[in-house]
Amino acid sequence: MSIDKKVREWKEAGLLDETTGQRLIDFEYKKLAVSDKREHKPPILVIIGSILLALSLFSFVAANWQAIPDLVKVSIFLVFMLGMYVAAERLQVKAPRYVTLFRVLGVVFFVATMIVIFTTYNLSSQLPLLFWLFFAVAVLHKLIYKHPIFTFIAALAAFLAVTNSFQGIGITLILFGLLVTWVWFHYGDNELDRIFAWFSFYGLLLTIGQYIDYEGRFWPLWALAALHILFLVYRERAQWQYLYLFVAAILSIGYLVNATEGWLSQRQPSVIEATLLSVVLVAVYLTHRRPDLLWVSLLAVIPFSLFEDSGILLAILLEVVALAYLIMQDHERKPIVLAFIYFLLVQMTIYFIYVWDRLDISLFFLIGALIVFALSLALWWRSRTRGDART
Amino acid sequence: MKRITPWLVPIVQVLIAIGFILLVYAVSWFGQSYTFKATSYEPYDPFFGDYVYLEFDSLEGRQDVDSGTVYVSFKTDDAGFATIDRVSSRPFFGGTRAEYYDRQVFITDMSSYRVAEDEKAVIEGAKTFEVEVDVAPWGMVRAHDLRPIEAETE
Repeated sequence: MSIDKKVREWKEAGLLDETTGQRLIDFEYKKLAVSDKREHKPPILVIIGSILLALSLFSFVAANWQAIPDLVKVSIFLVFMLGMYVAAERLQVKAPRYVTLFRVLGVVFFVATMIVIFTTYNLSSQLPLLFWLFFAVAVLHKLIYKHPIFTFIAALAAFLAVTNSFQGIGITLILFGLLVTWVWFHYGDNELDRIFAWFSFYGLLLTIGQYIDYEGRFWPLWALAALHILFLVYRERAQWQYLYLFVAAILSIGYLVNATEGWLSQRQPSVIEATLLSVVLVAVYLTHRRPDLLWVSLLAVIPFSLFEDSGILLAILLEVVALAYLIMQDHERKPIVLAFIYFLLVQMTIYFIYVWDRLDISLFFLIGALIVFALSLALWWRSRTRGDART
Repeated sequence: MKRITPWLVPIVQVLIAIGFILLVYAVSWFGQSYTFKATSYEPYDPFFGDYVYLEFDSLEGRQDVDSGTVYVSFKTDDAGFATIDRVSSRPFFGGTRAEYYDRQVFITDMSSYRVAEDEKAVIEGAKTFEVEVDVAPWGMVRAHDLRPIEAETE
């Protein structure tokens, strides 16, 4: 042992006397014995050996994958999945840091199991059902384990479920999806849960439009109006309520593009439907009366502006609304960044639509950049003077 | 109750997995079996994977429906092979969901067949087949027992 050698060296040099040297040696040995007992390290060869064994097992299974009976294949993955959840519960006390990691691995193995089942039994027509079940399971994770990562997994699952349902979805799946989304919305304890759940509601409403073969261009507006039902139950002011404004802003720009692209607009909207939609949009505002969402009811103009093919009417209207919203936000001393971004987007969309064909391409981008630059400069100057006024 | 709650998730997930497998077997238990004549674009070669893509003669030809999503049911003709019994754009009980375009009815779950390990040697190099398809009362299909037909026409 090196400590013996060192102590002997120091004693020979006359630095230590006999008893101190002996006490030093005793102390070091005692410390070594305690640490040995505590760490209980497996020998390094055992570690290497077990890694090699695991690798060989994996490659053995992989090489014979096709020869393994179908049910055994599925069982292997199911056992791994259960193992992850068992490990998570076991680690609850010992190493709480890894609990969520093992639960996420459990989700991963569930997905892997379903991939195995779907490829071996050739179930591709049942994919929408699988995605909705996966969404339900993710929400269940969130509600039981309460970790924010499951919010994102649930959001991803909801996105996949909605986008895969556009092709074909039955009434039972729609009801199931609405139920799961409502559970997520109602019992999710996080603001983020409600925001994602709100988007899932909106996505589901859009797929319902596909399901009932709605022909026309107003379905996104109907869906947004329908979502105001949530205000009847959830009356407190919360962050997710601004999503109505957000979606309304996106829809207004979407309709502006749609109205001006002549080849996109296949048919004139029906007058009765347009009137009805406008009435509904104003009516929902009058029932819930949230001053922030007054701007959403301005969407009532869109159904009528689509009757005019060039889209100039809609462009002027959006320009006025965007400017008015910006000035109002500024006047009421609220944050104006989002209002400014919307204003900028409207400018750029109009610029693209009406100038793209008429200018040389480099000149087009030069003038476009100059407009963005000038507007940003105005915003910067405005926020500076506002700051001065406050101090 | 508190102690069971964390186990709810894995239990539900195992039930979902078992449920899908049972769903597949239920097609054969409760379904009606039909024999289809099928051809593939090129002879089956195990080197290119487990799947063989099939076309069905009896699903070709003009149908009296709009193109897009349709629902079909089958019957057995005098020669013992399956033909289309009923086509409709609206869902009906026992109808299998399909796509109809280019004068062809296209059923996703039948158009690709996963070749089982013991079938590989038999069907390697074959282009025309007979295949058993179980059709469940709720419209799901499950193809099994792909057999090559000797090309007697050549």
